[in-house]
Order: sequence, then C-alpha cells, then structure tokens
Amino acid sequence: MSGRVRAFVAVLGVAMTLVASYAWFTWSPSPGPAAPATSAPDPSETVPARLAAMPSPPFAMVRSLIADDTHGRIGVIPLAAPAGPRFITKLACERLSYASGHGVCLTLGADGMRTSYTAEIFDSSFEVRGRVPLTGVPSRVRVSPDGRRAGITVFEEGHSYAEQGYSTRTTLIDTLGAGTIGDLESFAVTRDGRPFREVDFNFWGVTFAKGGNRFYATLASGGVKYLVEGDVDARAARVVARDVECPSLSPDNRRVAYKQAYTDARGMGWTLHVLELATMSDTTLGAETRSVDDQVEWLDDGHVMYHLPSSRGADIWVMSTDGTTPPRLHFPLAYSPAVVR
Amino acid sequence: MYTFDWSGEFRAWLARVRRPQTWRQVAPNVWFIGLTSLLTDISSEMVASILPLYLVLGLGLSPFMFGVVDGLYPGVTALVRWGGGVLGDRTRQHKTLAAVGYGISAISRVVWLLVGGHVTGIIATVTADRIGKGMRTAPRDALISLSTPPAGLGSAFGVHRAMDAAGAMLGPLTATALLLAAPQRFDLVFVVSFSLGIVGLAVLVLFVRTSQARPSAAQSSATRSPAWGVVPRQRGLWLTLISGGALALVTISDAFVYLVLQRRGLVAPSTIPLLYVCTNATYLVLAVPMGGLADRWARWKIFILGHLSLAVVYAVLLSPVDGRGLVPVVLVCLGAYYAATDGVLSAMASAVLPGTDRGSGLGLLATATSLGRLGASLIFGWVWASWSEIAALTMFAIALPLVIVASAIVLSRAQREIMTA
Repeated sequence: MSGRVRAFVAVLGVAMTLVASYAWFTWSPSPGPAAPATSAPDPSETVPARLAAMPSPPFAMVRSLIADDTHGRIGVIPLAAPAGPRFITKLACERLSYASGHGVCLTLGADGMRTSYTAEIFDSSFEVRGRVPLTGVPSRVRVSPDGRRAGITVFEEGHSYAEQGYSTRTTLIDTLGAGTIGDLESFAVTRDGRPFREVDFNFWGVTFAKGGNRFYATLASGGVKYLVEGDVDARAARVVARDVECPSLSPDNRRVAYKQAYTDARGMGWTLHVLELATMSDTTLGAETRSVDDQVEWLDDGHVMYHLPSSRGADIWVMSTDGTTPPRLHFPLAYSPAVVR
Repeated sequence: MYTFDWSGEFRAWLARVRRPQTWRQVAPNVWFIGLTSLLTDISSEMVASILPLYLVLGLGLSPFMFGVVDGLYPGVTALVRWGGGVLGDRTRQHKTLAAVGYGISAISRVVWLLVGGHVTGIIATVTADRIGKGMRTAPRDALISLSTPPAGLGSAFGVHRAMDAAGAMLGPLTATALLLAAPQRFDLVFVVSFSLGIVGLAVLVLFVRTSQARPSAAQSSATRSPAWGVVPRQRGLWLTLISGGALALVTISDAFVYLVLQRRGLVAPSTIPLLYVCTNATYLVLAVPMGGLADRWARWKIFILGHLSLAVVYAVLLSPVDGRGLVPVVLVCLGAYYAATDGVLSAMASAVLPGTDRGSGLGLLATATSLGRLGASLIFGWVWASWSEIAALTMFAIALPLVIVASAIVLSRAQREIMTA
C-alpha cells in the first residue's frame, strides 16, 4: 500500500511540475505567445508601425492584434496602405462594426466569478455613448449603413433542446437610444408564403441594407441553414434561399457574400460564395482553398475580406469576387474589419 | 433543585441526529472512485465551461461543430454505455475499462492544444471525450456496487454522486479563476485540466481495487444463456428498467425548465449558468442523506418520492402565480429530484443483478434512461413547436403522475419478489 501511495505522490508531483513548468515557459506579459521575429519574416510577421493621428477616410477599423499592451484595441488603417502604419485607439473590443458615425464594440468583463459581455456603442471619437448587456459569448456584429441600428449575435449555453448543444441569440439594437429593438426569434417568419415557426430556430449573422430597415440573416432549423430577408419595422422575415450562412451585403446591395459548409477528404470547413440577388445565380469563390469561418466584410463592390488564423493571432485576407484571382494578405495582425468609405 | 444538563442533552441530540452515519460505512473503494469522478469532473467541466469562449473568441470559430457531434451523440453514447458494461462483464475487467474511459477523456484535454482551429480535429476531440465518458459509466457503477454490501448500495451511490456533483461545481469556478489570473490563457486551462484528469486516473489505477465479488464458476456457467453478459434476464432488472425508462420519458430536461422560467420573466437569460449551480448544490447536499434513507426505508419509495418532487416542479411552472419566490422552489425540488433518483436507481438495479451481470445491467439501464430523456426532449420540443409551451408542460404534468403511479405499482411488486426470492 505504501508503494501505491508513493506512486500516487509521484504522479501528483509530475502533474504539478507539468502545470508549473508549462506556465513558466509560456508566460508572457501580453496575451498570445510572443515569438520573437527571426530572419526572413513573412508579411504577417512584420509588426506594423503606428500613426500618430487618426487618418481620414477611406480607412478600415480593425481589432488590432499587435502583441503588446495595445493588443485587442481598435486600430484604424488607411485603405491606401493596408500593410502600413495604423492608428491605435483607446477602445478594446473582441468584435466591432462601424458605420456613419456609430460603432458597436463587443467586450468581455468580469462580474464576480462570471464573465460578463457588453455591447458598447461608440462615436467617431471612440467615446462610449451607451452600453447594452449581452447574454453570451459575442460572435457577430454589424451596424446598419446609416448607423442607427445594429445586429448582434451571441452564443448561449443550455438553451437548446439537444441538452448539450449551443444556441445563438441575435438581437437588434437601436444605437441612438442604446436600447433593444428585439430578438429575431420574436419576428414573424414565413417560408413559401406560409408562417414558419419551430422551437429549434437559431438566427445569426445579420447584415443591413442601405436604409437600415431591410436586413438579411441566417436562420437555422432542422439542420438546414436558410437565408432570410427581414424588415425591422414590420418585425418580419421571409426565407429566400437555403444553405447560406453569415450573409454580408455588398455596398451596392446587389450581392450577398456568405459561407457554406462542406465535408470532404480535407475534413469539414466552409467555402465562400457570392449570390446575385436579382438572378439568384451563385458563384463559388474557389480561389480560397482554406476553410473560412467568418462573416465577410466587403472592401468594395468587387472584393471581400475575411480573417484566417495565424500563429500570432489572425490576419485579414482579401479576394476578388471573380472567383479565380488568388487571395492575398491584406491587413496583417488584424481581425473584425469595418470599412469606412 | 432542577438542573438542566445542557451538554448531556446536546450530546444525546447529536447522537440521535448522527446515528445513521451511513456515509461512514461506505467502503474506501467507493470513496476512491468518488475522488476519481470528482477530479475528472473538475477537469471536464472546466474545459466545457470555457469552450464557447475559446472557440468563438480564442479561435474565431463558430461552435457549431457541437451541433454536428450532438446530432450523432445521444444515440452513440447511449450504446457506448451499454457496450462498456457488457465488455466489463465479459472480461471481468471493470477497472481496466473504466481506466481506459477516464484516460481517453484526460488525453482529449491536451489534444485541444494540438488541434488548434482545425474543425475536423475539434469534432474528433469532442467525440473522443464523449466516447470516453460513455464507456466508463457502467464499469464505474459496477465497481461501486461490487464494492458494497447490498444493504449499503444507496449510501454508496449517494456518496459517489455527491462527489461527482461537487466536481461539476468546482470545474467552472477553477476555469474562471485561472482565466482571471491569466487572461486569455486558454492553453493553461487545458494543461491544468489534463493534469487533474491524470491525477484522477492515478487515484483509480492505484487505489481502487478490482472487486472480489465473483460468484463461483459453477454457478455462473450453469445459468448462462448464449447472450450472457449482453442482455441480463433478471425480471427485477427489467421491471426497474421499464419504470426508469418510462419515467425518463416524462422528464423535462433542465434546459427546458430554465427556458420556461426565463420565458415567464422570472429569471434573466444571463443567470442561467447560476441556475445550474443552484440545482447542483442541492443535489450535492441531498445525495448522501437520500441514499441513506433509501437503504433504511425502501429504495423504490425514495425513487418515487424524487419523481413527486419533479411533479412539484411541473406544478410550479404551470401555476398562475407569479413571483421570483418560485425560482428557489423549482431549483430545490429539481436538485432533490436528482438526489433521490440518480444514484438510487443504480442502487435498485444493482440489488437485483448478480455480480457477473452488473456491468451489462447497469449499462443497459443507463442506455434506457438516456434514450428516455432524449425522447422526452424531442416530444417536448415537438409539442411546444406544434401547439404551445403550455400544451407541452400540461401534457408532461398529466403524464408524470400517471407514470409515477404505474411505476410505484410495478416497483413495489418487484420489491416483493426480491424479498421472497
């Protein structure tokens, strides 16, 4: 028996040493492992320099991932020099979106022993003007082109009917009054002209049209992902297509870029597509062979941007919607872009 | 002169209260199995509680791979539970099988670090963890029952379930504390979780003894059918299984109970994790007393009482009275329901199974109750979608008392058979 006790003490010692040495050797003051840049760095390995002042439009706001004490803050990058210096603001976000003077920044905080989530509404000088509490891990956010509304998707636990599943909650908010307009699950949905309502409804990935009233989103039910077109004032939505996730309307509102799940020899993942709304003709953006799990942001009417994970966080890539031109790295060490034209 | 002997009175009162020290008679083996479960539950719950945060914010992924896994999951682990029990009986290696199950889950924690954002890898990791969990359930319960004399089964399972619930509560707290100390260091959570899993496995391997309760070879070979160890034929087991399965089929999942509370405006969506903690705390506190009571009184009566407590939950959910005072009633009754049913059901089944059939019998029982619960969720969801939330609740609130009465009749008969056999 004492042999067993000794063996147990040995296992305990090894386990504690493992934890302690792992913590010791990977410790760094800033989040994310900060590997020192070695010779011949690829573009994403070079740390972009800083701008001293806020640039003028056109620019993109991103979640900047430079590994220092500004990690996670909003960076502003002029579109003319995407890999060049960026202006770092004081506001830190997990996800962000911005249009017409109104921005939404999704943040994490500690509330006692629990993590709390908040949507902070900010203005053009990055001052927080209002706060809306969120009910789960923030996933997607889009501000309407006119700046007056936003759609936020969070993941919640213990709310679906497969007991261990995750579910999404998508809420529309009023950025002017910093209040909630409604949960998409309370909207009246129709499919083929008939009312469509199931308990397993999950909405995610809102994208607004120019007027700020019409929007598109994904609705999942019974394992199918539908594209719905909604009307905020009427609190209604109708199914317009299938197998569409995370739609994003082009600036001219004529096309929707989205991701579609695949399962093949490579495993599982998502490819990007573009849907022409007038003709419902679909183009696969096959030039990107890696899996893209993102709600894309349009750089202009002919190019989409999306993030891909890298060893140092994530980078933003850009691809032409012609479907053949190879994608290229656009904003290194950046995430969650919002283009301001 | 009249004097009141305070200390004497107090000691007498204490003796009276503490007399049924049922948990003190629980075998060391059960405590060690409980410790393994506690450590494993801290390990698994700390990862489970940070996974959405890690996947969505750490990796920038959507956690819908869980939808994929859960689509396959309920049916698969239900069968894995049975399979684990059958293998345990056939090989008589309950401990080895349980160790493999705990080992797979422990290793899956560190695999999280290696798969990174690779979607297929993530799905494989989640699947491996759940197979490990399904595989160990029946052999572990068989070990508990084989280490315990028949009269103490309720207490033994009570102690085990209380330790299990304690682990489930400590896990998320440990993860949150780690992330507060080292923000965004999900990798550290995985490494700590892996270490705790390995320590739990070491407790099982080093301190849990393979049970000696084996009937003579002559006895077992004489009564063996070709399907031995796959489908046990004891009438008592089948009656327990039918009652347990039927009751599971009219049991609303916690998630639905909390959703109804939320839709009635009694709780905010953000407090739902707290509701799980409160239910679990009640379960933790009541599991041992309920187990002891089950041993001293009658197990089936406690099991039925537990379901009556669930009926109270339904009644409160349907009651026209509104008020936040209803929330603690629901949580305490739900916790009491778990304390009076989960371990007690395993104790009832163990009492009617010969030692050689414990694994397959308990595995079959776990399969039946998990399929019952899955069926209940599908029915509840379907009625809710087709008619309304009230219709679904009313249907379950009518069905539960009927099934309780039927089960009480069946179980009391089964009990009589065991007594006379």
